[in-house]
Amino acid sequence: MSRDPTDAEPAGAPAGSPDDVLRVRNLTTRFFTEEGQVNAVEGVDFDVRDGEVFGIVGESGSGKSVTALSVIDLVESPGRITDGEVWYREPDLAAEFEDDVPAAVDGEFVDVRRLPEGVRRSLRGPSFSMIFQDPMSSLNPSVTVGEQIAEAVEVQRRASANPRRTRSRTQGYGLGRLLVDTLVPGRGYTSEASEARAVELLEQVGIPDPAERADEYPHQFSGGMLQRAMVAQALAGEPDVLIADEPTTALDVTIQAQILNLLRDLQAEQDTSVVMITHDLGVIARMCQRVGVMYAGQVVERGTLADVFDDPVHPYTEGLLGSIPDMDEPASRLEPIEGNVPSLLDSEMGERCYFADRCPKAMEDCLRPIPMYDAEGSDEHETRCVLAVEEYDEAAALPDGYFESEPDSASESGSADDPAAGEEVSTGD
Amino acid sequence: MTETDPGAGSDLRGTDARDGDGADASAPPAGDDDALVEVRGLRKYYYEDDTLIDRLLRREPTSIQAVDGVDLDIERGETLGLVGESGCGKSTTGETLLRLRDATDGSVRFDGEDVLSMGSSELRRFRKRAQIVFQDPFSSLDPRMTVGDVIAEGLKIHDLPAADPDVAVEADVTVDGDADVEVTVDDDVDTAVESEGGVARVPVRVDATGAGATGSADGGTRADGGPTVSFGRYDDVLAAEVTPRDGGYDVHVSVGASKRTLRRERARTLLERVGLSAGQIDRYPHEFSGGQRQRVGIARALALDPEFIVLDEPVSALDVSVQAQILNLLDDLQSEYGLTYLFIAHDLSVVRHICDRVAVMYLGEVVETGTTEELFESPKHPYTEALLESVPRADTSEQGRRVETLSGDVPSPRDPPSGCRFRTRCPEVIPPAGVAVDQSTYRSVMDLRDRLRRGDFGTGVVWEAVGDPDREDTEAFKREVRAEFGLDGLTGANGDTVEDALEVLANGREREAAERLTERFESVCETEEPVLPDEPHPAACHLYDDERAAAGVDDDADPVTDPEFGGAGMAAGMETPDPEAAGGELPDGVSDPEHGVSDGDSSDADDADDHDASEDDRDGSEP
Amino acid sequence: MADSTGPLDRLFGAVDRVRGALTVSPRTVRNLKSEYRTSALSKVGVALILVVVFMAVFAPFIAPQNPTTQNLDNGRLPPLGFTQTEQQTQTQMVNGSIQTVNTTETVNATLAHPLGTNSLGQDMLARVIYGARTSLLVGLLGTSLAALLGVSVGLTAGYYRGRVDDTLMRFADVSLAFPSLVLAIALIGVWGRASVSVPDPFVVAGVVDPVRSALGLPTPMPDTFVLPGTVIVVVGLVNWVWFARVARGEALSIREEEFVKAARALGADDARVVLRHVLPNATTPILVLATIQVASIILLESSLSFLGFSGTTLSWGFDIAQGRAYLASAWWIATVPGLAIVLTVVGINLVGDWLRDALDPGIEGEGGM
Repeated sequence: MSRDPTDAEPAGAPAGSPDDVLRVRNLTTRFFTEEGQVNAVEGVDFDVRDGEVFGIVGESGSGKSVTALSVIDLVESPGRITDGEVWYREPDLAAEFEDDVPAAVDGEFVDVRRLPEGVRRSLRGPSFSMIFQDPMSSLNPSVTVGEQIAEAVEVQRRASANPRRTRSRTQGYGLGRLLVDTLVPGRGYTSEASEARAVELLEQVGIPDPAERADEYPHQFSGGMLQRAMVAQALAGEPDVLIADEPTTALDVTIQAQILNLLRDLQAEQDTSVVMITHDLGVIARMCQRVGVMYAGQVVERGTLADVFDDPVHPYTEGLLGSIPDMDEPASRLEPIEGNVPSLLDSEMGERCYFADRCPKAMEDCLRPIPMYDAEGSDEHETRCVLAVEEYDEAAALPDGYFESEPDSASESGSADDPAAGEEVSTGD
Repeated sequence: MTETDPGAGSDLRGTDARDGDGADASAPPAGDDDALVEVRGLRKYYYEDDTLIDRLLRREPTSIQAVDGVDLDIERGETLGLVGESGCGKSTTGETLLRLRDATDGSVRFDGEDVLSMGSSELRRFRKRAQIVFQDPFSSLDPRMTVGDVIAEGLKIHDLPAADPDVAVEADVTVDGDADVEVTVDDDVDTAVESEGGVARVPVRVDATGAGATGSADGGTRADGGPTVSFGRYDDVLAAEVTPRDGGYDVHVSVGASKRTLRRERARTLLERVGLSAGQIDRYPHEFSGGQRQRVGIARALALDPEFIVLDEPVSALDVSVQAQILNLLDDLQSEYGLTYLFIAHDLSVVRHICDRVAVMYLGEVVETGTTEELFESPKHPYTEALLESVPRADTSEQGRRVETLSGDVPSPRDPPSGCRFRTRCPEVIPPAGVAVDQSTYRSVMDLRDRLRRGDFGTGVVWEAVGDPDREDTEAFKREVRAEFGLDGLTGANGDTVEDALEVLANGREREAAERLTERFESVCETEEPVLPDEPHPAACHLYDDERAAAGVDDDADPVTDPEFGGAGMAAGMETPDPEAAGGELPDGVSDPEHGVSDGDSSDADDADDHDASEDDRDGSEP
Repeated sequence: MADSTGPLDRLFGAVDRVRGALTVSPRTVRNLKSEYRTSALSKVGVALILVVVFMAVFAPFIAPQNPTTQNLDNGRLPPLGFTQTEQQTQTQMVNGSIQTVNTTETVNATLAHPLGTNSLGQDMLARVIYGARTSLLVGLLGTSLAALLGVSVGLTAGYYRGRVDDTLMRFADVSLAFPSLVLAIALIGVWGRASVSVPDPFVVAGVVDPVRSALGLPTPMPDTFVLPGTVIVVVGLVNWVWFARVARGEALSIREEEFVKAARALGADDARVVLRHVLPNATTPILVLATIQVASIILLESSLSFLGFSGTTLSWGFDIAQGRAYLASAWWIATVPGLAIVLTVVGINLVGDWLRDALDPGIEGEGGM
């Protein structure tokens, strides 16, 4: 974390669309656990543009949530971001650090990862903000909802009171301050103005009687209401980029629809860019203009919604789409992807396409690391699959059971046995 | 006692399991057209605030009506989907009808027997026939048991395998070489050999070619100097005794393994059947992924050869790709074993995929049932419509689709709305005749009335907002309320009534204001609880009252609820020996442990609710 | 300790192999190992416990003297490395007047009594070694009794909840309201101080005397060992409440797990559900509690012996009581057994901490990725 910015080689911001507000390159996050090194995020690239909703879709263990945490620098031990750049377009910030940290600045872009810790922290809220999956555990149960939102507002207020001096926005809250606030009644971190703003925000996210509800505690809110409150909190800083990590997964469909509508309205109103992370392809389809599909810590396919949903190249994307029962035209049988998500343990990840062991079209060419290839469709469409550049060739296909003979270090997780057994049984009987 | 079934008394263990087995098989279903499971008026109430202090103060416990008068018919071999949002009581229904929770009222018939009044030995038999698969693959397997033990537990409890007198035993004899071989098989060999269609076929291969030679490659049983006998896949569990006789041999086949070994064999078979490998039998649950653990849970349910399985959100905790594997597996198992499923889910696309018929629940009541096709293609109840509308489709045409969402949250189960429980969120509340206002304004008025009636309107807050603490500027007050509730669009008589009511309200008479509004605006949806009619695709909604009246639907012609059964069912429900059944009547909540809403129960209870008018109405209307 | 194969590593290896039978997950073993390696304190704890256990088991072989042999001539010998100057004040009648005569006598430590002797000339080291038997046996048996009682009551209350729970736990709360020492004294007052003489297996087998003779140690050793029966029962009855509370809490949460529902759906009766599903999943916190309880029961036993309520005279607490009178003149008589108690209790608590950290239920039971 405490890498010396001056040591970094001057690379400059990567090329991309001029609308980009965020360009993430080669983001790599590893967890150093007792079982070994886990490569949760492995060289992830994506861009987020002004006012768009960018979707990241993947199953559990695909690294999508860790990607989000890595972007806003909230990865905790035993995890560590080991590599990568997060270029963020913010002219003021660029001007401020042009001289101090030249390697971190390129035009209007700043590589957030090269900025000092305090500055990175100060960007959370006013620049990046996040909505989590479980609203119940994301809000402090012993502080009223209104106060928690007011706190976020206060952070923003103090930051914008001194817009050019990022370094002064450290928002320190020391022990002394805590003592004073606790002992002196009516003296909180938040001011009356920010509390009023909190009520406004609650109203904005559609909470009835916002003034009364602001004084209630999280447990007095329903799940949907809490998620609204979380949205209000995230919006308090008027962030440039809002990262929503499974924002509706814990909610019922009718409430989910409410929250999705709300997010879309607010996004249009404030022109915020949203990174929508979810496992639900339906939510992606409804909300996003561009999509990245993640598997085993990598982005395996990326493009516009139509590219990914209508012309998927990567067999994983195809499999994912084939796994969902279609509500309007039900098929008699689903076509699932056999097997399980890999463990991501470094020792078990071979030098190959990580999907090859579950892939129905695995070929010999898949036994090497696969780069991103351009795929048909829009200019945006790229995929990490050799099928983008060559036809599937039966002759080169890997024989059945090819991966079972691999040294079975995965035996602990039992994942190795499953695909074959599943296949055999479901057809055999 | 707790909710545990009193049925599994240890006194019965091992003594009448065998007989029970026989009885099961010898009591074939009465007819194929009657339902395997018939649920009538099922209720499950929880009571909270039942602490010692409450009891000392003789406080009435608050009841939460998790399930309130549910009727379901589950036909043999079908999959009935039970859908609804969290807290609608669908899981409680599933567990109550299996008697994992004790019903407050109602009846459940399984293959003609009343489940809720079963004694312990009957219940024990029922447990073999009806199983359940849970949602959470992590909490549903005991972390301290190997998966083999998990799967075999049911067999152990019922002291299985036991010989089934109705299963015939036959030997499929193949003789290699030239010998006259006579094979006899013990009657109880069906404990080790899988039976099909009432016959257990034992593959017996007698190798007489090497008779007299020593040793055999296939590890089969070799009698001294005689032929080797092998049983294919049953080699480990069967034993043969070979007696030479004149011109040939007598081979006697018996079970050559302990019950424990037989159970283990069965567990291996089941593991393979659900798509795992038999070699994983000694692993612990934490060594498996979520999808694999769910397969183990399914194997456990299958171990007792049940006819009926409650699938309680079996795939909602799984990733989509794994979910599809499990759905396919469930499909295969159903056709292979002729299983009947009650599939509880909140994911409508999964329900559409796997279910034959669907029942939609809202706040503890079934609001619509029908075949999957009917329900998805032409939903009747506004709630079903909203559910279907809300689901995001994984398709590019979904992009930017704006869903007309239901307003608000599911109401508190402690204070459910009167009449139709869905009316507080319904986009199609029926205004009384003569009141022509658009739906949103009408809803605003209803919201205002509900607030007034509940007494949490807060006149003071409005005055504060107006900035008139002396409460003199009634005009400003009215403006404020109109703006807040969006009542400006009302004209004519409607407008006058509202004007009138607000005037009263400004003078601080909340109740009277509510009365005035109610007088004009009260909807049939508030006053009358809609009933699920007896028709092929029923929906409990007043929108269809006229239609039904016009069609002259006649209550007598009701094929589902025959009055005799209804009566019997109710009576049976009443006389259930369980103290639980009477729990509802314990006013001071004398600590019936069942009803103390503590950790576990409250999660389910959280959600349900309501009011018993419905059941009575229904019964009343039947004859 | 090096990372290679120490004795404990070999022990863990064995545990690894039989973990199936013990239903200890590999993760648990891994945690135990890594906690053990990273924490110096747990090593200290294990070492202390091993020493005490060794003393208790092999007391007849290693005690330098018979702990009960009195030798008034050798009374109050100091431990090695100390000399004791005793001032004796004698009052004599000389010539019709009372005179006080001070005589100073220097007593040297002897090798035969490395930790000195008490006022009766009994060897302190031998008494400490034999006292370990009393303490450990009372600690283990008392804890077992408490655990048996407490866990049964706790599981019943937690599993059945409601009125059963209210009744049992109210009763437990009431017992908790009495200070344990007072309660124990009251019970002993009612029941008397029964004790049981247990023959020493080594002496009975006749292996002690030859070994001791070969080593040049004095014989014979006591052929029976006095177990303070009432004390064991009493400490069990006093301490069961802690087990009841922990077991109840575990049962309350485990009974809500879906695997319990699944077992009931299979037709399992309450006894099976409790014994096969609830209890095994509650063992970790119960085990951790048990270690700590052993320490507290040893302390309680010592207190009772100190106060003279025990049925045995071979006990650390009894020795402290004996030494109390001589604290000023012969400090070791009370201090040596006192130190033994402190080290044992510290050792057990360190092991308890190690187990608690390693078996933290938060870590256990989570599935793989």
